[in-house]
Amino acid sequence: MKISLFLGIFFFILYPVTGQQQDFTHIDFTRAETNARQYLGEDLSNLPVLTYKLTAHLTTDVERFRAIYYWVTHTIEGNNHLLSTNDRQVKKLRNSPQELKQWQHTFTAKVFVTLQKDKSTVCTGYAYLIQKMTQYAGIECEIVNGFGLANAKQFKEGDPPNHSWNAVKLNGKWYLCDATWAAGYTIVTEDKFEFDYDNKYFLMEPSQFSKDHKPQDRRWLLTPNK
Amino acid sequence: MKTQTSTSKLSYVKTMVSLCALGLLGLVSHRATAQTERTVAGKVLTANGPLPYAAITLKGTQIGVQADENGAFTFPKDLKENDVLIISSLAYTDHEFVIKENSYFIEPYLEGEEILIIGALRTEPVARCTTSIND
Repeated sequence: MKISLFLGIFFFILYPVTGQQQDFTHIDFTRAETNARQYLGEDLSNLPVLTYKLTAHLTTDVERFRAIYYWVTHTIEGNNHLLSTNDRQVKKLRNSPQELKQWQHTFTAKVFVTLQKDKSTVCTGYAYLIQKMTQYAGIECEIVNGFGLANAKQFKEGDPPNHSWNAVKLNGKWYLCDATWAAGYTIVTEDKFEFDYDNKYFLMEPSQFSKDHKPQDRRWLLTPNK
Repeated sequence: MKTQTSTSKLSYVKTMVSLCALGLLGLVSHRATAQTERTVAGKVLTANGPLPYAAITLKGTQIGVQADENGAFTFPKDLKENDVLIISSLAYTDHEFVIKENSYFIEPYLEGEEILIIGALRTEPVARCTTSIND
């Protein structure tokens, strides 16, 4: 009776909280992380070669993904200045669709030049890098756009998408992660980024993830009742 | 006497033809070897003009070079026919360029990717809770 109660608590309370990461508790990520740390000083001048260096000597897809995710979240800084510049322009040009389209085109180019030169970016930059490097490693990975509950605001219907994250396929199953929020946080008043790694966003259990991430495409909720 | 002279002449002709054939073969082989490996230079192009700082990598190796601010590059290793170069840059679709017999100066073209930029950065440090399972 007591054993049944214990097992019940374990499977219905503890398991859902760590569900997806628990799929890989038998994997030791030490080698993947040690590898990633070795290349933390590298730049983005040759992404295929960097990805090869990070992943070639690892034997499982989850370790390869871990090395990439660890490298990105410990190297790439959040760039609040880019974000606020875009916010201002979008507000200013909201009634001029052609000028807004031109700005978005210019801004996209600026984001990627900044990413390459300064290793700093906004959410889509993080998600793009995770996807590109993961694909170089031969693993399926998608960028998911949607709504992120930053600063504990409420989800509001009709809001435009404001966040990007990733879905990655490991051993035939899809998992979710958020490299942007995992990497660190921004002190908005000083326009300053602090690295502050948060591991909970690595392969987070979908129902936990959906509390502050709402994808535009509901397929990417990955929960049983979508 | 006459038979011996004819035989000698035939022998002589055979020898000369063989020597010429060998010489020709040698020349052709030398030319073929000279064509298989060469220094390849180029310029990476897009719909908006040259692409600065694109990466050019020999497929299957870690040998590569970065294009300069004008998209121009010289590959650091001599290449031969059927070698494959991968040209890549952020926000562009990778392009695989196969070296042909007459490839010396190449102009690989990259297509831009359609990307919508959005972002919400975290503004709070990680909450330090005493019952964290994930730490």
